[in-house]
Amino acid sequence: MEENKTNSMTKYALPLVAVIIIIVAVVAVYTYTNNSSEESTPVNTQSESMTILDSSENSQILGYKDGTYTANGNYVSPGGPREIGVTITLAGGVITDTSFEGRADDPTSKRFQGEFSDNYAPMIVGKNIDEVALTKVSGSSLTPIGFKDALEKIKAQAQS
Amino acid sequence: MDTRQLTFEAIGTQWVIDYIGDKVSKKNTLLQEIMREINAFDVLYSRFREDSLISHIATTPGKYPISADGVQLLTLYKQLYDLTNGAFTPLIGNMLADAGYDASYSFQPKKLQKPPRWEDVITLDNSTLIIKNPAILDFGGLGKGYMIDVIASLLEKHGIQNFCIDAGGDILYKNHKDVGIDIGLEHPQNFNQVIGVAHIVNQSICASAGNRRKWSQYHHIMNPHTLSAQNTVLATWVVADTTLVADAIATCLFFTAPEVLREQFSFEYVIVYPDHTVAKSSNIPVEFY
Repeated sequence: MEENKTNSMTKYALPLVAVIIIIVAVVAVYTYTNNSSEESTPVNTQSESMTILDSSENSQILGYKDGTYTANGNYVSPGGPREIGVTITLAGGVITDTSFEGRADDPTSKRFQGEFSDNYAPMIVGKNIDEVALTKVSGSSLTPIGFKDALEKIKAQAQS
Repeated sequence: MDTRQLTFEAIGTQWVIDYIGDKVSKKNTLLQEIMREINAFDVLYSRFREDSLISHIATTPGKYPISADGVQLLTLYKQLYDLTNGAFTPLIGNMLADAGYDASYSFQPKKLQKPPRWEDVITLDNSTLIIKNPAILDFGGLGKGYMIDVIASLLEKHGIQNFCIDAGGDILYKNHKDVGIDIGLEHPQNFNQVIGVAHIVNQSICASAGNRRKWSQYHHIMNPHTLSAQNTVLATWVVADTTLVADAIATCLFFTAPEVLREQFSFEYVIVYPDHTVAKSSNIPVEFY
C-alpha cells in the first residue's frame, strides 16, 4: 500500500508541482504587494488559491488516487530562500482540503507567511441546510419584518 | 429544570430566546421585562420612531443629557469611526433615509449627500450630547447587538445560566458547563444553504451581509465616501465576547482590514468575498463546505 502511494506520488508529481508553483507565486505576489500596503491583497490571494481548487476537475479526469499529499515549495525572498509546506487531500478525484504551513524563521517572512496562512482558505461551495444537523443558523435571511412587507407592497404596486 | 422558549418581534426583527429555567409562570414576567428594556432603548435611539429622542435631535440641535448606554454606544461608534476612516458612522442616518431607507420605508431614492463629519455634528461631554447641526443619528450598526447583551444580563439577573438569544441570526450563547453549540453560517446568496459551521461557547456571533435589506441599487451597508452600497465583501461573521462588539465589527469588516480592527478589538472572523473565496482568523473553530 505504502509502495503504491509512493508510486502514485511520483506519477502525479508533475501536476502537484504545478500547484505548488502557483502557491509559491501567490506567496511571492502577496509578499510583494503587501510591501506596497495594498489592502485588497487578501482578496487577490484568495482568487489565486481558488484556481488551485478548480484544477480538481482535471484531477478527476486523470484519475488521481485518494489520499493526502504533502510537498514543499521554495521561493526566494529579498532575505534569501524560504520554504513553505503544502498539503492536499484528494477524495474521489476531487481536492477536498488543502492546507498551508509557513516555515520561515525570520520575523518578516514569518509575518508574511502567517498573513498568507490566515487568509488562505478554499472557496466556499455551500451545503443544503437539511444535510447538516444544526440548531441555529447565523445569517441575514430574516429580513426585518416591516421592511420586507413594505418592499413587497412596492413591488406589487410596480406590477399593477 | 426544563427548556423554555420565548419568541417575539421587536426592533424590526424576530427574536427567539431558548433557556433552561424552572418555572413556567416566570415566562410572562420575563417577557414583559424584556419588552420594557427594548422599548426603553427604542424610544431613545430609534430613527424609525417619531417620538424618539433621535427623531427630535434630527431637527433640533442642542444639548441633550443622555443615558450611560448612549454614552457607551457613541464612544464605541467614535472609536470605530476613526478605525474605518469614517465609514462606520451613526451620521449615516440622513444618507440611508435619502436612499429610501426612511422611517416610512418609502424606498424611493433621492439624491444622496455625504454624511457630515463627526466633529462637525457631535460632541460628547460626559453624559451630555451636544448636537451642533441637525442630523439623523442611526444606531443600526450596533443597536441590535447591544440589545442582545442587555437581555442576556436580564436573564442572568433572574438566575438563568444557560440560554441562547437569537435575534434574526445574531446569536449569543451561554452555557455554564462550557458545552458548545454548532451554528450554521447561512449562504449569503442561497438561504437554503450554509457555507460552513462555527462552534462557539459562551460567546456571541453576528453576521452582516448586503443581501438583507436590499432595495433599488442599494442595501443597508452603504459607503459614505462613494455614496453607494458596499459590495467588495459579500458577508461577514464575527465571534466576540460581547454581541455589541460582534455586531459592530461585522459591519466594519466591509470597510476595513481585520488586522487593523484587531489592533483595538479582540474577535474572530469569517469573510466571504464576491468570488466566494473566504478569509478567516486562525482561532475560529469553523468548518467550511
